Amino acid sequence: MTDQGISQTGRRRTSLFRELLSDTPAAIGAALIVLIVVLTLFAPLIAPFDPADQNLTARLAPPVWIDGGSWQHVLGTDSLGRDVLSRILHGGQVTLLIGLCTTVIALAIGVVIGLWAGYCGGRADSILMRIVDIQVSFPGILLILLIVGVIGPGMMTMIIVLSVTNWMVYARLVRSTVMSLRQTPYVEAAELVGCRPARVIFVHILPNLIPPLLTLSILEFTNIVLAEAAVSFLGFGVQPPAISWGLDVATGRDYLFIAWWLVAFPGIAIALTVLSVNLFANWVRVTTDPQERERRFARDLAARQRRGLSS
Amino acid sequence: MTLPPTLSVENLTVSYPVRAGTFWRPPTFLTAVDEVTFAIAPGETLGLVGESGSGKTTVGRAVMRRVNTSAGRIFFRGEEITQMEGEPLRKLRARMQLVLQDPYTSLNPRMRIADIVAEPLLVHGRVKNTSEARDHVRALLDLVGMPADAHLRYPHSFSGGQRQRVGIARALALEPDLIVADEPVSALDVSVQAQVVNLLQDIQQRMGLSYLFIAHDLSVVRHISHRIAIMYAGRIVEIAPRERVFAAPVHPYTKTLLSAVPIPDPKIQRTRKRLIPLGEPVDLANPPPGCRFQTRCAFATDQCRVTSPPLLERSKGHVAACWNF
Amino acid sequence: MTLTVRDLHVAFETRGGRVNALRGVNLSVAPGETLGIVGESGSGKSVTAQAIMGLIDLPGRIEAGSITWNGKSLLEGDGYGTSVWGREISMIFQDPMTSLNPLMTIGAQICEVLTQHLGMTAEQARERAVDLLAAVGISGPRRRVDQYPHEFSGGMRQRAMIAMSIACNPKVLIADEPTTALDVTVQAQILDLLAELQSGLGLAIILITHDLGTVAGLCQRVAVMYSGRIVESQSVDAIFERPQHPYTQGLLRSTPRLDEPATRLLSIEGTPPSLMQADDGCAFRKRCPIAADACKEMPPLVTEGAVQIACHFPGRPAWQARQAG
Repeated sequence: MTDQGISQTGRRRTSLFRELLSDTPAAIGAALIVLIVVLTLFAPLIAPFDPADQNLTARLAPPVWIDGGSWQHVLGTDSLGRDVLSRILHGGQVTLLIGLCTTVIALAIGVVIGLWAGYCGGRADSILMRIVDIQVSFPGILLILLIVGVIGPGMMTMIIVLSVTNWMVYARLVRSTVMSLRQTPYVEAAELVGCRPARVIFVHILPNLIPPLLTLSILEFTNIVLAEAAVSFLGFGVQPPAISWGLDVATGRDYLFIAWWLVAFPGIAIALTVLSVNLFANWVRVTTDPQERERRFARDLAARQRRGLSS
Repeated sequence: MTLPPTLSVENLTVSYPVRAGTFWRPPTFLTAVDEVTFAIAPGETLGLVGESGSGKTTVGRAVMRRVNTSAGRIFFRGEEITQMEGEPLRKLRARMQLVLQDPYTSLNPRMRIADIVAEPLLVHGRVKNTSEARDHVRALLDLVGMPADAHLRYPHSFSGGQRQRVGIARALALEPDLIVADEPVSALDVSVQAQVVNLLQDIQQRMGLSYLFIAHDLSVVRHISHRIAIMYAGRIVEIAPRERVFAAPVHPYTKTLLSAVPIPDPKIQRTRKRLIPLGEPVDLANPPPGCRFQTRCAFATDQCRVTSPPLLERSKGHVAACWNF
Repeated sequence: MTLTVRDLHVAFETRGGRVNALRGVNLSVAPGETLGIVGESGSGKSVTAQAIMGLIDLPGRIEAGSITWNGKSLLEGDGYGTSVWGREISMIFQDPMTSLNPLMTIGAQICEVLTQHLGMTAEQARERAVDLLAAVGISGPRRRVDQYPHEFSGGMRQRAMIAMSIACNPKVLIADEPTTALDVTVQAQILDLLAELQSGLGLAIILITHDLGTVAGLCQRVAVMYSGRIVESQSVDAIFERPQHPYTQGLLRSTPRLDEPATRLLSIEGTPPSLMQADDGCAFRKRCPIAADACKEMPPLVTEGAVQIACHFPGRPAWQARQAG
């Protein structure tokens, strides 16, 4: 233990990868995430059709494994004869982009407000936290409809709207963590040594916030994906001709009884994304918590020893 | 020519609101420190001893201007610092430093030892970056007896005693005039305690700084202090040169405390007579009138129950607050 | 009615490597006896207690050895352990606040033990709870029984914990640093209480502590642990008068004593070895002034009458006698 002072980053990275592989659900989640990102990122290269191409002769074609389906449209076509697979690949771009941008913006707002409230305390804290309370208690969907009504729907609107309704959870987490961290002896020591507040925050407090924020923002990302889908489904989100999974579920709704694949496949894409991110987030949470990580290590070891004994 | 005391505290009082006031109820206050007066000369160590709730830690924090004083004045090298704030306070911190109790939590686990020790130099503009401070850091680590290769390692690879040495090196980096040591050895093992206490003594002899050494343990305090102050329930009950405290204690509380310290010798320990305080510890939110110790004192008289005794001089440099002794 | 531990090995698997917390511990306690286990942090004293109570859980594992009560093993999975733990063998911990439920009254918590383990009715249990609180020196037990832990002072909480631990008339009480979190004056009272209970109930007590002073007053026999092994075990008078193992000698001379002049404190240089490094030699040899080549081999624990010692040079003075100054 004493001799590993100088960190061997390379070795640590490979062992981290091995740790991920040994946790089957997390490994599957991570693999799915990579797959989804690659597929959507290279959608223009992979997709067999332009997602907007209409083909009225092949309207509402079923997926390939059903009678009447063809290999041309593997997942079938919609009411205008557009290829469902291509739409899902392209739609993922919008969905994931909105998810990513919103998470980053909401995180940034939340961290700044949380640090401000938690570090300054007193009146600033009371005011900021009351704002959070008000915003949390205000029905989110109502606020979204309100903003969309004022500035009109679209992708930018979605990002703004979802950021505005999602930063509070970060602010609360950061505030409470900062408040407890300020009581830790080494932060007190830093203040008494004569560190200016900026140094105390950036050198001594912020690094401790990264693990919980990482886990939270990964989980929040799935919430954003779901929210985007919901709002687009309601018709206030992404507008045609842009494509998103939620929008496709919404337009497919009218054909639910004659062409279930229009709803099912974008729906599965949403569910799969959310599920894989959750599996991965759980692993990140355990890995960034030294105690939990130690326990997982011991559990795995015990399981391996039991298996060794029985065989 | 006489130097002003490194630290002098006059009638220091600290009270906290324990329950916020509402529209119809005034806030409740808890007086953690009540009219405490003492001074520490240059190069001197004052041991401040008390049990939990005695206010000893609050005195340390008030002196460091970490908690606000409700009344009284604090002087550092003759200059009043009671209300000091902002940049002057930050500058002042270069000259008085704190060594904390728990070596496991008082060092940032994500920083290397060199960065921890160099931090005071960095934030007070003595150096521009850690590498510029390297020689200085090496010298400091050497001074506190840390191995030469320590500076690139992280706190987790060191034992409690070694971490406490790092904490001391950090406190010494700016060559302060005063170190407030808040129970610096109580989290350490016995065989290591002695190392740290001796280190503090050696440093004092070399650098001539003063210590306010806060502890609950009389047996360790005795070895490092020139004078010892005993606190009970927010007040100082006795201050004396260290040998007087042990040879001729005046206050019943001091005697009780002394008799409770176990002596590592079975023959003596079995036959020792102990003074046992009566009743229950004092409720600080609702302290008794008169002497704070009167509810637990076997010698309390009517006078003790009405008026609080002043600190009166018993012999040279030995003051105690008791009506009866 | 004896508790016997033979050649106990406990290891903890961590990401950093395997921590060999116990490396062959042997001890036994008879009824009415008080055994003190003294050691510093990491010596394995608390792990020993946890192993006896069946509290070793992942990532820790008992690798080898046996723990028997009345000749029957506590480690077999036949339920004998669960019928003994908490009844015939019970334990109190360092911090009573963490082992008391803050949402239940003290009385309810004691009654729970009584109704569950002894099958008492609610009224019987309540009466017994009041008696138990009185037995551990809590004044006004009828009123106290309905109070919550936060209404008790630290010392009172530890008394309540003791009341709970003796509720089922145990034969052995394991006390893991029972006074470390308490004030000195309260410490003395709790130790007195333990001594009283022992003679009154014929309890065997295993007192685990880092403090030789605590051991001196209460124990008949003392086992000194270092780095996962017992290095010396003999009667309390003998160990203070003629410590055999160099570590015991060093521990004794570095413990500050109030009854001796305040000279410079003496320490044992260095720190205990890491429990991860597998080492066949004597664990103390790097800090031992009389270490020789023979010490590269692990000294066995040799029993001679009532004395057990694990050293190649037992009884040889490792340090020069303390000089009066």
